[in-house]
Amino acid sequence: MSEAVLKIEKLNKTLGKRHILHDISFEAHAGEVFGFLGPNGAGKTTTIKCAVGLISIDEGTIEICGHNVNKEFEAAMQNVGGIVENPEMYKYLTARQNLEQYARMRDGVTPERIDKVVELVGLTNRMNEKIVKYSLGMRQRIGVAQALLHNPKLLILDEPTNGLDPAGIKELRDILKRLAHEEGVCVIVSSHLMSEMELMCDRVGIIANGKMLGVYTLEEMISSSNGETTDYIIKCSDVNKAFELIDIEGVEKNIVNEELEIIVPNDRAHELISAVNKTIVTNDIGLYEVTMREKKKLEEVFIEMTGNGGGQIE
Amino acid sequence: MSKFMGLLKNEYIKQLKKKSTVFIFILVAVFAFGLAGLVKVSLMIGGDVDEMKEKFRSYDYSDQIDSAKEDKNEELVEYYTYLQDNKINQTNWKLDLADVMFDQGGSDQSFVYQAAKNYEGDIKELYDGFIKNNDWKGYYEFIKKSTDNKDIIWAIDYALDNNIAPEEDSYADDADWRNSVLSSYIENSEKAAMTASDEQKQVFTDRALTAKYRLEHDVSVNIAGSSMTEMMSEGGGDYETGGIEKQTLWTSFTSSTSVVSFIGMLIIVIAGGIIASEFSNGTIKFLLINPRTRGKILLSKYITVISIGYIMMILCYIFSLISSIIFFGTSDMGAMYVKTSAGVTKAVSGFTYIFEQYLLSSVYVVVMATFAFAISSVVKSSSLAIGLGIFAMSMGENAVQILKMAFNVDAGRYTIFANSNLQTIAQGQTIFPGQTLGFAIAVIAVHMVVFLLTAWDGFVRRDV
Repeated sequence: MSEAVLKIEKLNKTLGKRHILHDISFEAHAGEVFGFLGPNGAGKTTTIKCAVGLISIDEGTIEICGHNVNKEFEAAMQNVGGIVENPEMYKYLTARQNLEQYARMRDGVTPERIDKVVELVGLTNRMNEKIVKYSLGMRQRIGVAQALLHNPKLLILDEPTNGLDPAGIKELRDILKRLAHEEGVCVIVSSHLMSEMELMCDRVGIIANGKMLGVYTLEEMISSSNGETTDYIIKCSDVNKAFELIDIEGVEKNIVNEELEIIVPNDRAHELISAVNKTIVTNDIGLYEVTMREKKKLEEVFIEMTGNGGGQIE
Repeated sequence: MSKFMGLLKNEYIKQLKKKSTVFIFILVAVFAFGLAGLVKVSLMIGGDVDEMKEKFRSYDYSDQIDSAKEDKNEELVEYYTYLQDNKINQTNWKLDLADVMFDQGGSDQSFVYQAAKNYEGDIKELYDGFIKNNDWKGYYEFIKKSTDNKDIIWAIDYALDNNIAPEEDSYADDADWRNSVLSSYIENSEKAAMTASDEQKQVFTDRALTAKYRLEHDVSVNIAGSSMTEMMSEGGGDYETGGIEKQTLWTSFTSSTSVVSFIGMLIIVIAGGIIASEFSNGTIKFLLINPRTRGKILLSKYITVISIGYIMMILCYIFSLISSIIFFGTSDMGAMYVKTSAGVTKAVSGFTYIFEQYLLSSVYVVVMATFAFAISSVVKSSSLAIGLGIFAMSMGENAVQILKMAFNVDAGRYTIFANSNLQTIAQGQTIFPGQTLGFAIAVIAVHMVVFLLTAWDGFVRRDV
């Protein structure tokens, strides 16, 4: 596995009396898009703020490219670009003047580099406009440009698709994937929308109530949610007759809504479902349709895991 | 270092691109420029002085003669007729002699009178000779012989060596400044000799020393006490050291030091907003996730505030000099500031003196700006920081004064308000007796440390 760009170990944070983060630990690596997923109020933004040194930590260590954020702030932050919460810029300055502000605060950003990131986020023609005239989507783009200025090894974006139109979201997704997979950047994206994560993340870390529930690859999540069996729905001319006739070892059968539900173990799924089909067809029952029931959406898995389907925010 | 310069440049751009800052700069420029005009106008309104002068310059005594005739006062008729015949106005050196000749007015302590008293011949004939022949040298020699007063002898020697004839019309445009300084020297020396109180004696001695310095160093215009405020409180121009009372560019240029407190208010506006605005705009998070420590960012903000203050003061200095020249001309550019206190004469060029005044008053501005900066850092609200800063700056000193006068509270002497106005403390105008410059500097240092630590704590250690 490639090097850990962000390494968080046993992070604890208390704000007032509220213990917001409990022993958060995870690593994110170069070349991956890491999704940081959790419902509102789970501690995503707090964790990100700790990682970029905006708030102090009570316990634990955070290292970026091997530099402790609290002890070697400047060395650590030279490798980080990010947007924390909303992309706020100096409204009375133009987009270019804003980017120049950030360029002066980081090492090795040339004017050519500014032009390049601006082109990347598609704002080349709007650079001399004041930010006050920018829409939220445009500000999100200039925020991304700002984060990319100094070629950071770690890119942290807190809910970056906020305010972007569907085309903009797709564009951003492609940019982030390319940065990770082609340029080897470690991209961390936080969101409370699983559907969004599904489309761009390689791994997902799930946080709820200030606790890290686990880090999974997308495949792991899907299979862990679906368990050992596969469901099929069969529509046929005589459901009850078919139900009685099917008697195959390892096949579980039910009648649901005038349809036959067949549950088979994953490893013998094809063998058993063709046996079921054969039984129906050979007994002169009209077979209309055999469909595999759609696997659970990651969204549902996520809600199940975080146990926060419309519940109260703690 | 270049990294830090980058931070400073950022702060400057953020400030200077704001419309409010540009507006503030324009205000300072207009104020500095307009002040000279205001001074000029206010001097023109006070036109009574010229009327008085004209009266003193006239040697038409017909009214006095007529009224003396009515009173049948032969002596007075004779006296005024003599003055009129010899064209002696009220500012003529010959007046003193005539006064003695006709035993009119004049102090019996004056050396002209004393010399006459000790003269064995006919004093009337002698003085008449001096007057008729315009023999000022003979008159000076006569006075010199008759006195053993070192100061008078020095002054007479000075006049004789430099061939300075006493004025027949002191208010004339071509009057020699040295005559008035000479008479100030003699007058103050005499008063010093006659005064019993040590304090008063020192005041007169100091004035005499100042006059002597000006004569020895050829300082034609002394700007000490020539600002508008000083003119009002001390009775006018460098009169006390015998300068020619006239309006020069220094009258308005010295007044421009009062603009510094105005600049102070504007700087408080910038200081109060420079941190708080980053929070209210939400840009603070983007500012702090750069590879620059918060300490450096805070320092760059502080330096920006203070340096903008000093830039404004330099602009104000330049603008008010230019506008003073426009309104009053360049004729007295070489003027100096000469003032003696406790026997020590301080003499610097006018430019240096005003520069010093700016520097001294700037301390107050820096202290109050630092106060607003600290509040801005802690409460993250620019309006509160600006409000408190301006309130402290404008009311603090008054509050301490009121507490002292109304309730006899002496503890006020330890507050920053009683100690940060170094300009007045240096002039000895303190709120509490016995305040010294050294003590004031110590109090300021303590407050600055507290303010800066507070700002540091609010900005560097807090969660964002």
